[in-house]
Amino acid sequence: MFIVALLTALTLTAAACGGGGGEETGELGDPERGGTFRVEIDEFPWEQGYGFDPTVEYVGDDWTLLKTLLIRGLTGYRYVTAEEGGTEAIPDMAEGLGEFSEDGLTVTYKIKPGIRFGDPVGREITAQDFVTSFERLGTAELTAGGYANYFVPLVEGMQAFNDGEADSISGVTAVDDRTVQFKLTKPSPDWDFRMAMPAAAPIPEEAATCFTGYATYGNYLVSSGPYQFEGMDQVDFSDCDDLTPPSGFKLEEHMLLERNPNYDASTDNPEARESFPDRFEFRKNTNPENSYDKLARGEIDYAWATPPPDVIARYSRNEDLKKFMFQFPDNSTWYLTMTMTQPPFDDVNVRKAVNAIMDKTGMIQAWGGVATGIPAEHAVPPTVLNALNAGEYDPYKSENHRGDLEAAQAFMKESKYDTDGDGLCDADACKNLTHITRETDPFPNVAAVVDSSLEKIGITTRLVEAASFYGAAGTPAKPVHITSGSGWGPDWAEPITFFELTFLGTSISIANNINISMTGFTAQVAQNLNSQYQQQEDQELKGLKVDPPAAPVPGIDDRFAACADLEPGDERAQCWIDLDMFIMEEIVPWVPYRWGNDVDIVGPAVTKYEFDTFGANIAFSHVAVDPSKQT
Amino acid sequence: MLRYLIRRVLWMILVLFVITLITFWIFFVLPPVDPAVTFAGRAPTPETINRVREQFGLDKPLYQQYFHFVDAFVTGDRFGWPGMGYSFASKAAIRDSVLGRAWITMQLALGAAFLWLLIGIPIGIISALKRRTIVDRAAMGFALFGVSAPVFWLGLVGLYLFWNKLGWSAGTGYVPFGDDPIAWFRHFWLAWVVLALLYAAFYARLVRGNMLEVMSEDYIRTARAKGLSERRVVLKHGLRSSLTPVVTLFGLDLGGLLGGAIITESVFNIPGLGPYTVAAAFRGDLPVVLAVTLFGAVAITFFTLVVDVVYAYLDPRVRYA
Repeated sequence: MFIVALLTALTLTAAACGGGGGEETGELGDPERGGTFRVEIDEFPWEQGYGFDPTVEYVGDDWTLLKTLLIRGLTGYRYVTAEEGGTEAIPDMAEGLGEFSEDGLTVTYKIKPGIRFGDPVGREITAQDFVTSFERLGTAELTAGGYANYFVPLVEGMQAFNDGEADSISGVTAVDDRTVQFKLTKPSPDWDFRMAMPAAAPIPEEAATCFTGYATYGNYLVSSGPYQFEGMDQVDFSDCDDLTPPSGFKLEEHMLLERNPNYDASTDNPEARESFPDRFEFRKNTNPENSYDKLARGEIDYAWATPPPDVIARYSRNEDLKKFMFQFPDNSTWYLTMTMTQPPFDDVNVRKAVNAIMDKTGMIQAWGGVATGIPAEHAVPPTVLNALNAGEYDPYKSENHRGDLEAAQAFMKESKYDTDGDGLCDADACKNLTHITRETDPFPNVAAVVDSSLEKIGITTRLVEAASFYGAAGTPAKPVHITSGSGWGPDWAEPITFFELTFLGTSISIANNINISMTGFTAQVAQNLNSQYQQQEDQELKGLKVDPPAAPVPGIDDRFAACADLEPGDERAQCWIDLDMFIMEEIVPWVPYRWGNDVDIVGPAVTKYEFDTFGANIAFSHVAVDPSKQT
Repeated sequence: MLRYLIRRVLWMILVLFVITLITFWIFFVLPPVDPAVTFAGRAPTPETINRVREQFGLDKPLYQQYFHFVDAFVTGDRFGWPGMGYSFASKAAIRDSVLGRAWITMQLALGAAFLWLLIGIPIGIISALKRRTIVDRAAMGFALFGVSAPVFWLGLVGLYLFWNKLGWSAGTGYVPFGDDPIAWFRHFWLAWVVLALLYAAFYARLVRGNMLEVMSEDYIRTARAKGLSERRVVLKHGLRSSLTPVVTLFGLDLGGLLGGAIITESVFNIPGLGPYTVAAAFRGDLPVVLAVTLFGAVAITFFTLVVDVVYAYLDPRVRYA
């Protein structure tokens, strides 16, 4: 997923956080209908640039808000932990999961009757509303930066529509008011997962015609879920030039939600949405520590910011407070990248040595301690692979994950960059390497641990703390050596999205490149990139060029394609596991160092908490408050 | 005086023009990262980047972009007057955000300014008149504390004591005066005090120094010799002359604060210009940065003009042609 964009992690070493707090979700009291659930957040996720527009929105926290509170799709999730079934796609607006034709190229959904849009549209949702949302998804001007790539090449006629060569998408049809059908260019066994993404949710034509600009619809989002923005009943789409945003959603101030008067809970699945509170309030607090003080006093119900170490310690050690703190794996891997086109990282033995020497425990301490995550041992988190749990597979094992100098030196001795065989990288190429990290906490501290580890095997770096990490590290024509600011999570509960943008040679892009390590970089990829640079209007980008590799950089494109073609089941699952191991032992483009934890602390008035493994967040569709305990 | 005012206004316009030009150059011509790339999302195609560039108007020649910006600011855009465009990040109209936040920052700044004058000037006077006494030492000790204590620390300690423990403050956040005047005051007073302490300390030292100098002047001795009361000598003759540098500094300080008291606003969660601008700068949200810079420049140049006019009133030797 989710480029994990909200980074409010910590610099202080947590004092013996001790992993305390609840790991069980459940009732903290008697969950009852009513009340207002009050949230403070230090930065609104929609301020990342996607404007809360579901067609393009790609920030995980916004996905949580959209899918648990505001919009429904044909399919969805239960928004619970993996153990409780949170990783399975389930029907949402559709009567069942997709009905696939025998050749897997046609998928049909039947929409449940009686599901209506919120104010001001109010009418029943029809199949045509999905045609509208897909046309929006297929409109190139509207989807910059989003994930249209998950749909455009896969739906028949969508590429032509995207290229402006067709007026409609031939592969999306409203067979009748309640039946929507998709024709695919190739079988997609994970199609139900794709349909659970916010961009696939229905959009009313009445509203869509007003929002032909990029990321403009979010402020006026018409609900199909249990809640809507306050003031939506005052919005009038009849005159697109004279629109006034609803009072409940001021993009930089607050989001206030009230119940959607047209929502019929009988059409929904209580396993997915229980919708206890009458209202939700999301307000900004630029002082996250103050949010936690207010939380403790019962003035708010949830502080949506990484808890400071002292708060975690306080809740961990206090028996009365422990039950209000929850920790769950957030399905993310945080990792270092080593650019395989740049010496000395063009030598796999050097990359292995770096993996062996890295002090992962130190890096996690820099994040804030064990409450924030555990040392990662391979690329894809066990919660995504459903296998290879911590301790079961670690090709670069060391005691307490502190690094193993002996093992690292053994790898280094095999490298051409160890000219005298002493286990140290002593060639000129080992010195003064460019190391890019993020300038926000905790990354400078993480980078310090990385540099300290690298020095043990003779590698020195020049650290650059970048305000725009992918801007600095993600331009292939301006390669860097090593980076320590990357994190990744899956877009749905299946490993496929963990590999696509991060490791495929065909995914290497001219800017904001996720595949920083250049895995799978070939002469053909270089040619494509150079062609794309030439297409740029900006003179700075236009003048850039990548040098083709002397030999293709090892990649996984063929293996990935083979796994992606398999039907869901044990064979496919094993294929992903094998691919993860192949990456770690043969390609070695990363040093995975942290599998993240989401730490949630709720206020004393909260009577129910759930963790949503899809969004790696608190599940707003399941929370409840007792107003009598609020202050 | 009128001719002077007209000249100063014209000069102000020239200064603003230069400021916008320099700011535009720094942020649009020499940006650390191409904003189109920043907001094009992850792994963008060339078409995506070009499209985003077009949407943001960055595909036009620089001089056209600058002219469009100035034209919109002067004549307005679809969001109103002055026209400031929309935020690359949130897509919200910048005008509404800036004006709304500026109003809030102004409340913070004016309240703090009132306090720091109320605290700083009397302390400076008393300290000067009671030179080398325990009163003087205590006053300058206060000044040292005020200057040394970081604002964020003062704010956090203040919140802990007066909100968390004593309940005298309503804590962080902002409540509009029109919604609840009492809540408005209870939210603001601690932020005013915290912000004012730093400036009060400066002003106390400044007034003390000026007073010491002025009170040793011949005309002060003359005033006493004429039989004027000490109160009149100090306030009408001594203080008036001492205040001219204070007025200068006050104008600059207030103008500068109107650009956003970043730390105070962050600690007290006051939705003013400060954190808004900082976040925009980090995100590469250039229209916001440009708009706030221009707004801040207008505020400072305006208050500098006010200061000069007040100068003429305070110091009869100053006359403007």
